[in-house]
Amino acid sequence: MGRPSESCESPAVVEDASDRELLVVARAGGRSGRRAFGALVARHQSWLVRLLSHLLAVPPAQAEDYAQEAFVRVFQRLDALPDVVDFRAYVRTAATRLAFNARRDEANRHRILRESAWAPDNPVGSPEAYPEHQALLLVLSDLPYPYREILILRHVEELSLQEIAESLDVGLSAAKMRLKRAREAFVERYEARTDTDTAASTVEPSGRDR
Amino acid sequence: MSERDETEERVHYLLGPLRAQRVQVSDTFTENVARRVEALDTPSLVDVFGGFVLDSINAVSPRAQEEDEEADDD
Repeated sequence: MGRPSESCESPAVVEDASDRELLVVARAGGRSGRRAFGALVARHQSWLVRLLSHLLAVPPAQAEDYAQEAFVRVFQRLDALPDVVDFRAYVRTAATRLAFNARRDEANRHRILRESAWAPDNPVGSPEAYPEHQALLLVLSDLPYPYREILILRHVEELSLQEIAESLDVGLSAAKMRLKRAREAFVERYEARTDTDTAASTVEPSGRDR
Repeated sequence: MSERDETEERVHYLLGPLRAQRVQVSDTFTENVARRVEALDTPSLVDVFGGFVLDSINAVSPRAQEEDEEADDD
């Protein structure tokens, strides 16, 4: 596999190639195949690290290890991938399964969060907003894993309910019910921790019910 | 707006900072994935040393062989 600047043929080819085109080359194997897979890794690593960081409630640097493992697992199954697979969705599903199994290893996540005083690499808002952000991360990390998982997939990754159901391998109605309970649990715990009424917050336009 | 919709909007708003978060991945990320992929084709140290140790255990040392022969003679 090559570095991001390398390609199956030339850097320009990789930049212009779609995920599907790179996947075709990657599945063919050999040196070019590994370079193409490397290009896919470079293209998708950032959002995957963020997703795993949120799912496992660990700092991004720690989530990198899980993200690398997710890519390796996808690589191992390249031959079995359908021709029309959505690479991002496939990687996401592999990552959510990996996180589901790995979450028990993260028993020390509260300690990690507190001791490292972790803030996002590019925090949004002023430094004064940091305690609220920290509270947000701690509330998420306190939630039962299935609740945290579905909240992140819906409200951070902004997947549709159908996509979530497919990714988690559950029915649509089960996903809806889990999401409803997760939202209620999140708001209840967030308000208890911050002692504020979040209803006073500004509401963004929605448009998420796909 | 129903209570259910209101809760949905509140959660979406509160999680906004996580949506906006941009993660800086280490420069060696892709390289590390490549190393792991390469390692799939290479026997691990455990395999190599495990085989070595097993061979050593199975091999009969000259001293043990001598002792066995003496015992047979007795």
